[in-house]
Amino acid sequence: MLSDYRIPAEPYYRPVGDEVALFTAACAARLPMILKGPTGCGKTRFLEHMAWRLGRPLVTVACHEDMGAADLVGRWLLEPAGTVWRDGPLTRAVRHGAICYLDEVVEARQDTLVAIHPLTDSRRMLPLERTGEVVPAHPDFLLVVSYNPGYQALQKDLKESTRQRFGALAFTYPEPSAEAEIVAREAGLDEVMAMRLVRVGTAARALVAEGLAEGASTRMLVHAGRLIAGGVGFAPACALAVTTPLTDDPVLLDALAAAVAAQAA
Amino acid sequence: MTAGERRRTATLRALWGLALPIATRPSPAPGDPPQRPAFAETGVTLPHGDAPARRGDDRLAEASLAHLGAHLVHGGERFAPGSLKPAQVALVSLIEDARVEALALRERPGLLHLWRPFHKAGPDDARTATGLMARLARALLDGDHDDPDPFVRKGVALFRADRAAWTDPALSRRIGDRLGNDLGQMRLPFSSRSYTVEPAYRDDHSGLWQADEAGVAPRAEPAPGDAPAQGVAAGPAVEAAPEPGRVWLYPEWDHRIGCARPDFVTLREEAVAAGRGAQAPGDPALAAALRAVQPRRLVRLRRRIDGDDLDLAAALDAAIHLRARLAPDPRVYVGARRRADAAPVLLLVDASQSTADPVPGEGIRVLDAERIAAANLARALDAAGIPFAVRSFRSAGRRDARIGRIKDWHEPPALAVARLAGLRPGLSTRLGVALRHAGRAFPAGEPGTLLVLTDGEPADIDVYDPAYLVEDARAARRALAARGLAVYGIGLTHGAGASLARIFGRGRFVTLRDPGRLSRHLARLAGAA
Ligand SMILES: Nc1ncnc2c1ncn2[C@@H]1O[C@H](COP(=O)(O)OP(=O)(O)OP(=O)(O)O)[C@@H](O)[C@H]1O
Ligand SMILES: [Mg+2]
Repeated sequence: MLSDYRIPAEPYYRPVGDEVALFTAACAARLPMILKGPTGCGKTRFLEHMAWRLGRPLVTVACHEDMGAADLVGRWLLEPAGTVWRDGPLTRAVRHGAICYLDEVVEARQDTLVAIHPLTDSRRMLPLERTGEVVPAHPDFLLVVSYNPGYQALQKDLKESTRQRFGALAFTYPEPSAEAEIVAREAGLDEVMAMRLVRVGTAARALVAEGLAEGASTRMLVHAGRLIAGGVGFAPACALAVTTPLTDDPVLLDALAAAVAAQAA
Repeated sequence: MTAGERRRTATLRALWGLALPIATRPSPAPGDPPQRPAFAETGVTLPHGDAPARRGDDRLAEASLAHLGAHLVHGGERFAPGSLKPAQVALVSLIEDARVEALALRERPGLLHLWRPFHKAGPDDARTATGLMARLARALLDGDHDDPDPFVRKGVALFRADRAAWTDPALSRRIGDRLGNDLGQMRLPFSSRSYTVEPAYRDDHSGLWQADEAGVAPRAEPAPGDAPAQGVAAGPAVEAAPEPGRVWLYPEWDHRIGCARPDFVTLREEAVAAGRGAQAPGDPALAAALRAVQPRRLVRLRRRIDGDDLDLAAALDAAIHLRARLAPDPRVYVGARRRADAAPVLLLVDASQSTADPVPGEGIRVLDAERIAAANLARALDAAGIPFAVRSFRSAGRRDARIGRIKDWHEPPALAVARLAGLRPGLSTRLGVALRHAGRAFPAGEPGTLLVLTDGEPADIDVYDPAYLVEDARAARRALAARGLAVYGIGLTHGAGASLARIFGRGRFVTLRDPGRLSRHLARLAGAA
């Protein structure tokens, strides 16, 4: 049923702590999980890896403000013969036993999110208001949501009643040697070069205290690494993939340029 | 802070992760002895004059910051001068410079390109003590530079002999002692009085040695944040009695008993005369940031191509078309969208005596920072076509809370700027009642935004429990939020974060020191809203 959502080959994930064991245990306990952490630090990759390890399909929904409950649970469609119901991604995962991943969950409106409440407590079921059906959750169903606490934005917070239904794992940028290993592997670089990129990342993260909205992600460093592996110079690769996208503030761009220059041999 | 100063601070942070105050000294007048940077545990000093706007014009300062950071990160305890001769002190320092730079280059190889151009001494220079020192400094940094002088060669050989020892500051002491001796035996005179460290980006060594006894001139004590406060409190804050006229009575929340005291605070409104003030620098990004914090309303849109529910009327029409074998209109859904409206904004400005204090670390009073922020906001609100009003607040005990009517909704924006300039700091900060009264200014049942500019700590003469007014303000804020008003705190300070967080709630306040950067902070507040 959900064969398209199965992950055929092992996605590379380098553990940074005991998250693999903890997540496996939470999954066995059917505890819905929050993955929190800054953008591009490996949350999605981790979950892909876990879905592969646990042998479950992974249904991902990128949440956004205009997403309504129907985008999760399903909607009536109008067809020549009349109306037909079509399950949304959440309902499909619930029915057939998949991991449902709500990415950037705080972007969804509160009124959309209440749909997940009956799934995340002992009821483990999904009432479809529009059809009157109650879908009991398949034993393999697991709900995982992610968000980036860095935004600290006003309306962008989980309701307490939502939050307290979940267990949570906090992700951060891996420590330098682990991050260098990841960048080297993902970008196809040697570790010395990867470490220089990681140091640029560290410098950018330090600049959050000077007004940078968010530090450079592992993802950005991987992007820069791929450019370098493809023959672009260190400084232009960092400018294109890291510093220029990161900020428009000329002062911070100058400081970032100094940090890049310090790594350019 | 100028952009150039911000760049220097951010550069030190980006290169070394260090957050130290950077004091700026003018470069010496022609004919005066050259000055070198200095560092201490408390901060660094750059004697290179005002920070230029462009990074490319500030290479010397960048090289200095890279070098000073290397000392701060890789240096050890200060050396004890003991019985060292001046030449030995100078050479121990020189080797220490080379040692921290060598360690810096291990993780930051690119710094070589920053430092190398400042090293110019070479074999053609005179064979004096200071000349040899400058040549040794160059040869130690730059492995490609070959200096045939035996003294220089010996120093380089000693230094390179054991790279594993580089992490130990005692190495500098050992090598410096020996080289200083050699210099003495070569009968090359050395005077610490006339000695200036070369090249110019390097520090004066005062940060390397324990106080006084050092044969190094201890100068340029870095004084963090030593920019003097400009325009300290303009005269005593004379307080005219509030005008007679209408009074309002407000409840106040007492957290110790867990309930509100009814009719506890007496509030009056007061007029504020226009004054003349400096033109604020302006903050062009503010209008966009403001739009982002505006509340959003859920609107239902009918006959849409996608949406949560079928639009019954449209679906019926479509079904009829289908039965009649006509092409149906596919727009059969209702959708919900959030729309930002131009909801009114009220700025509530803290005018209490404590706003006469400087913003910590900045040469500007809190009130002036508030004025700049408020003036910029007023301009941006006007530009964005958002209706706004401005109020100030202060108090002298619960029987005398005051709200200044700086600008009413219908009054022209220019008036806000002029009256803000007329505001004088005085009295105390009873925030809760000010919030309650400000809330009245909004039409009932309509959304709106209340922006509070303050130095962060509510206080009043008749309140001794520091938590009392914080809790009351929190209660007032929550009541406003419950009736649909968005309330944000802007703290022109650092450190009052805890009270602000308590009053306004997580993610609903920002603290800043530089009012010119408000747009950036507001944008953060709005997140990706
Ligand atoms: N621990 C890790 N193991 C392997 N790759 C990693 C790891 N951490 C980060 N990465 C790399 O970083 C990239 C971005 O990570 P990922 O897409 O998982 O980020 P994310 O945390 O989900 O970000 P967002 O919040 O923006 O969705 C991955 O594609 C991968 O290349
Ligand atoms: Mg030095």
